[in-house]
Amino acid sequence: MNNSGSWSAKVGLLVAAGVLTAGCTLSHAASSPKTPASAGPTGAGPAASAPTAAPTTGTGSGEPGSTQASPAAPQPAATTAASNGSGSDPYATSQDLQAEAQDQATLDQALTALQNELSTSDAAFNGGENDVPTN
Amino acid sequence: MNPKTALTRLGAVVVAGGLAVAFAGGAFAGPAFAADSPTSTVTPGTSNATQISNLRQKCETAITNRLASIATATGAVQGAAHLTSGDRSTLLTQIGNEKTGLSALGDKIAGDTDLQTLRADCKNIVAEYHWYIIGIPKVHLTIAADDAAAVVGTLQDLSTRLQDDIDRSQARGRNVTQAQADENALNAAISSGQNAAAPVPALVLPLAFDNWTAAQPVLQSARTDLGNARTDFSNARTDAKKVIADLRALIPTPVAVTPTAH
Repeated sequence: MNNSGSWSAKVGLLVAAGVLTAGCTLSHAASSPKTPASAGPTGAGPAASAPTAAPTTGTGSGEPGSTQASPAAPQPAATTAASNGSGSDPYATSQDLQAEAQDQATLDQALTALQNELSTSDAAFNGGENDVPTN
Repeated sequence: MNPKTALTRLGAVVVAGGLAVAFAGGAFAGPAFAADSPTSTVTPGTSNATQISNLRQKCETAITNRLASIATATGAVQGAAHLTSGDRSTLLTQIGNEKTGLSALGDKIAGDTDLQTLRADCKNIVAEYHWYIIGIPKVHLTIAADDAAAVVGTLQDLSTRLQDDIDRSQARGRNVTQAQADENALNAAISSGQNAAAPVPALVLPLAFDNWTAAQPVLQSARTDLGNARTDFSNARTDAKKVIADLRALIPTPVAVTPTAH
């Protein structure tokens, strides 16, 4: 009991220490790219060592994981999980969501057109045919 | 009186009465049908020639009004952006037949010299053609159904992209449970609306213009279905908004991180 307990405790401590160390490293690396715009060209410290699979980081234009040619033309991030592992892409869907939101206007117009057709039909149907003498 | 016409009128009176009760507050309140309208009662002392002249004028006006309405409907069919080519062709043919028939009837009425014949021809403006209560609803319900198909396409495209957005957010470790639930509701609403609207053209296009008794329940049902479809699409639109809001809420606010020692 004593021996095994002692070994268990030692192993537990070692594991815990390892987890903490790894956690610290990962946490640090993961949090660094969250501010790519501010990190930019001068933020090459921790961000440069971030363990991401993205081949193109460090443009300073705000979209790590993308392959933009120019900072003036940010692109939506790639959809592969490989570029997402660091959580470094906070705006990944904002542009898409904006586009989706714009579709609402198209839908509004379509629904209005549909309603107009129904209203025209209703008016005729309910109006009847009283203009014709029948007696 | 033509037996078919008499039956049609009787059916119309019964149906119109039922509609007024059943749909008093609805979109289709039911037509004020011509069969109930003693609009040409003979004034005592009026000469036969005067009666004929007065009745002819009313009937010619009725035909003129229908031909104008037919022209408007023709333009609507030609300009409808989402009508299928088959539905457009069918409607234009049927409208053309209405125009030809009513024009010929107008010519006959113009030449009628017998009051009894003139009265029978005037009744046929309604009984044989039913432009207002069958023709116009048929045109616009078909256009609406094809509009609905276009709405379905737009919503399905939107749903596909939102699902992609959800998947991408999930891949980033975000909790997309609510977004996925709203996405599922969106898809259910699209399907419901599609199922309600899609059958309408095939139901209303074959309706005969001279059989109000048969046409009335079909038109009523089609109108209800399209109204329900529109409600479904409106709900789908709301669901899509919710999905977008759900996903936006999951996007973390960028915060400048100060390096810390570990």
